[in-house]
Amino acid sequence: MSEKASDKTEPHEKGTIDPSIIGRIAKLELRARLVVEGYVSGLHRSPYRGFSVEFAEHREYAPGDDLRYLDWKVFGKSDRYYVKRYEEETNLLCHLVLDISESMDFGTEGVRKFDYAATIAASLAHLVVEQSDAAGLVLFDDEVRAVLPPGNSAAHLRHIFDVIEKAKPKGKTELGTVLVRVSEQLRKRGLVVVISDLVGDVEEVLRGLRQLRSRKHDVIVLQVLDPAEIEFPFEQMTMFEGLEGIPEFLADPKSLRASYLARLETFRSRLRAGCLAERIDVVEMSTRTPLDVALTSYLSRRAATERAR
Amino acid sequence: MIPQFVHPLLLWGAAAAAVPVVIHLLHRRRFHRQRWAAMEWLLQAAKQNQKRLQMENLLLLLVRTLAVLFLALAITRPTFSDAPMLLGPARATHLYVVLDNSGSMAARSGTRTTFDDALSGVSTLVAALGENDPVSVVLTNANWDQQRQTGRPQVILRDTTDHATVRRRLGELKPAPARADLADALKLIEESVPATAPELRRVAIVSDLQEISLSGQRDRNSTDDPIRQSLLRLRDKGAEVVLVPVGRDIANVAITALRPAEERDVVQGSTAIFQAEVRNYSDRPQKVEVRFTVDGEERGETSQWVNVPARTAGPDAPPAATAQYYTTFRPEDVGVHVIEARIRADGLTFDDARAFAFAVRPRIQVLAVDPDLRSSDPNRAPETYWLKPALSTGDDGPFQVTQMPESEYHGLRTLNGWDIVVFANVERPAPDEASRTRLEEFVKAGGALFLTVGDHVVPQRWNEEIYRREGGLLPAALGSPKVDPQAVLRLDLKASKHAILQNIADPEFAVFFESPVLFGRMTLEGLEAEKDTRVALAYDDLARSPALVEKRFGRGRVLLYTSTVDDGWGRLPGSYVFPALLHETAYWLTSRGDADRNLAAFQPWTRAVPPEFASIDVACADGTTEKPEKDTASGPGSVVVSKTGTIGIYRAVMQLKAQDLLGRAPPAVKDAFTVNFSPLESDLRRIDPAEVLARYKDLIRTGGDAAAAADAVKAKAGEIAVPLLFAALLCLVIEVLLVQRIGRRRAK
Repeated sequence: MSEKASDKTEPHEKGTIDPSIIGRIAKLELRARLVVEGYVSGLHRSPYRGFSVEFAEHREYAPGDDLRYLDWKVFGKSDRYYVKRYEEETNLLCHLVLDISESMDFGTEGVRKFDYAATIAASLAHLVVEQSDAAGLVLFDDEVRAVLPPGNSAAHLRHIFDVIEKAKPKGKTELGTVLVRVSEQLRKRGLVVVISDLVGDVEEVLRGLRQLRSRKHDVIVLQVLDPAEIEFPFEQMTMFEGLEGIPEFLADPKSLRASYLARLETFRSRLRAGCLAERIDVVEMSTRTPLDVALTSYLSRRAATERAR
Repeated sequence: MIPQFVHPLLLWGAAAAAVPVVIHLLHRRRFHRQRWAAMEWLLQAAKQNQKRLQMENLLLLLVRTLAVLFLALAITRPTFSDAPMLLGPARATHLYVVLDNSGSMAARSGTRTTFDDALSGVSTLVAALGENDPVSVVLTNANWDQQRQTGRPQVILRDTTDHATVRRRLGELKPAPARADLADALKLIEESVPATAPELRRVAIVSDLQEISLSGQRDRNSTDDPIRQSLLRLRDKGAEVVLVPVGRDIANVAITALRPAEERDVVQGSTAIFQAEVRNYSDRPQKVEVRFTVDGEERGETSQWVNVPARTAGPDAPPAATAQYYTTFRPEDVGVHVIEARIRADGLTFDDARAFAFAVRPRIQVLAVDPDLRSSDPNRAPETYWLKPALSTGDDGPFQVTQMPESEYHGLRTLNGWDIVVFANVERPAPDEASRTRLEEFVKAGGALFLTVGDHVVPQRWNEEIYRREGGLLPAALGSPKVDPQAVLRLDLKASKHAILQNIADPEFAVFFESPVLFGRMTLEGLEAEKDTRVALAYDDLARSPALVEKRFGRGRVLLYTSTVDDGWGRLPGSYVFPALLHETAYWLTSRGDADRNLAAFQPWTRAVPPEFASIDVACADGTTEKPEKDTASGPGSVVVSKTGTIGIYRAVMQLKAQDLLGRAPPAVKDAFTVNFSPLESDLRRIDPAEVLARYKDLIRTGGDAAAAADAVKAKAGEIAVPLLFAALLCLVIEVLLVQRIGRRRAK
């Protein structure tokens, strides 16, 4: 259950949320609202429209239920007591796990991976809170740098925005180790959305994800990559300056492209296979990809969670 | 295995092989920077492919470099002369031979001369060539052609593929009695060798490497060494030079000079002294007998033994021992004679004899013009009173003096028959135009004029009559007489270096010759500005006033003595120096020398012939008879003999046209000249071939014997230009395939 959503060179459809435009908006809160509202207002055009956002159900009244929620119309028709259950009435916990390592401080088309990932995280937090679920936040590089337990108040949402806004991408990535630690800290099971470029050893990544799954969390992995990282479009002799302390490296990109892309494909396939086995959604996102894809991924997973409940 | 190149200058093109490497390096230096997050994947990809990529790049670089290199080398057309396993048939070889046939090559050891060895060496070289390989030969001293004996380097065979002709021509050659100039010979070869040619070009220098042949090139690093320059140019043309040294150390004693002991003509009645210089070019002193003959006959003491010291270390010629021969020529000996000196034959026979041709002149006729001769004034003695007995030393003496009053002199119609005219204090040297013309013609034709002054001389009149700023007979304008018995002065005999004073100033005789006191002299004006005028003797006054002033006039000489030849202005006539000075003066005034009769080998003999000339036959030293050609260079009245490549005596007999009424021809005029060996060539010292090779390192390939040289000139393998072109093409094909394959893989 995974999907690849890397939009390559096609122009963005009208109504979708262009990352490059969103990226130019400095205020994260405003960015998140635009993404969410734009997404909601455009649902009728979304391929994922009709998912469980409108879902509601009745159940038989039980002693102790709040009488305010009795559905008198149903009682009038069926002469039986049913209680209305509204969609706002949820207790989903969404943990947004955002990578702030230095590798995220990279972008070739005006949008850094970090900006893109931060916007996703903020948007998801906004959407979650809007839907009366609880959103929490974990920032990490090679260590867990910040943890905000889930909450659903407006104040909490602003707190999440503040923390994300103040985060600066730096430091190395130790994704496997960090996810293990994160899983230990997230005691209440919920939906864990890992937003990272996942640059590193795939086995380490999978080890961390498995640990999250072992704690009964539902996991969505949003892998944010720059288009250059996906396409490796360089032609001239290039001195690649490594981030996260990796020394620079002079190479002829043309001679390395095939090998690099093969390496990337190997990573993808092993990641997909590992995640499939653990029932983890993996969405690869180019920073060119419209941001609503991330929201859709979240909502589809949320719906599945609701169904499973 | 040293390659030779047909176009060696194009070897610079091989530098183009560096272009792919340079492009590769430049390409690596020009890159753009890119921050990169997914470094781990990139490094893994690079690590996985690094060796393969490096190999691919190296392979491409190698193939491209080799392609350019092979192409550049193919253009230079390299050949390997000593690698028979190489590809291609043997290339033709053009052999250029510099054959030294200078005098030293005639040196004999046993039955063979050095030149015999040289000819054998050339034959060996020619035998090593292919059947149709061309041969060119430059002889250092051309003497093979009877008609064109220049003694200079000459191409005697050019591009000849008929090797039988080459051998036949070689058999006709012989050493020439002259010095070789290897630099000029190499220059001639250098001009003959084309810059590009399909065949290999080999230059063989076959020489005894006599030091004198390479003289002037002692400084091995000298950039103006003409041999080095020629060798460099030959190398640039792709020609390979090999050295074939021949000969061995041979002791030699030589007569290096034969000439009169004094620089004067031999005059009937005088004693002539000839001296022969003998030099020993060996390391041991020698006692050598020198035998003299005159016209092939022994006269008087003809043999003299001399001790000749051994040569000393260093470049200078060894010291000479001198043998002298004295003889007196009688009136019947007047004419041209040849004296010959000879020593025992040794290794080099060219210099074991030497000849000198000279003319014995009849008595020198002196006309002494004297204004006081037969003077009516009893108080005046003749001006030439002292002069005549001083010059006329007897009836058989070399000088015959005729005194003549000035008035009688002016009545003469011609001065023919006189050798010297002396104006002894005459009043009017040339009172009219005819008189002056007659006098000038006399001197121009070779006569001598001796002018002395005194109280009869009026300077203004002399100046008017025989002085002109340019072209007059008087060496300088007369100023005024300075006569003061209280102000005495002397002739500064010892300070003069003039030929007249050569014996008088000799320290051995100086005690006899001291200047007497003089108290009168004539001053001269503007002497410094005069052309062709020289002070031969000065007085000892502070101003160094001129006493004897000479002037060349046509073929004759004029000498002005600025005092009197009688006792009017001094005590000269009563001194010992007076007769000696007069004799030396008379000899100097009349001597013409015999340089034009004694020539070096290949120097042409030119002779003026009279209008009544009919024919002339020259019996040459080699036994042939030659009819001289008209010498257009010297004028219509001259003939020239150019065939003087054989040393020895040449005798000429000139027939004159019939003159008398009966048609009888006057007696034939006999003349003679000699051709002698260059004394420098007698020094047979050779330069070690190893030294020559070291001096011209990288320019001369080998210094071995003829067999080794033959091996060096023989072309054993062909050029490899075609295989190189194929190799370059193959490299290009491989390059294209590699690029395509790599490109396809990278595009996947």
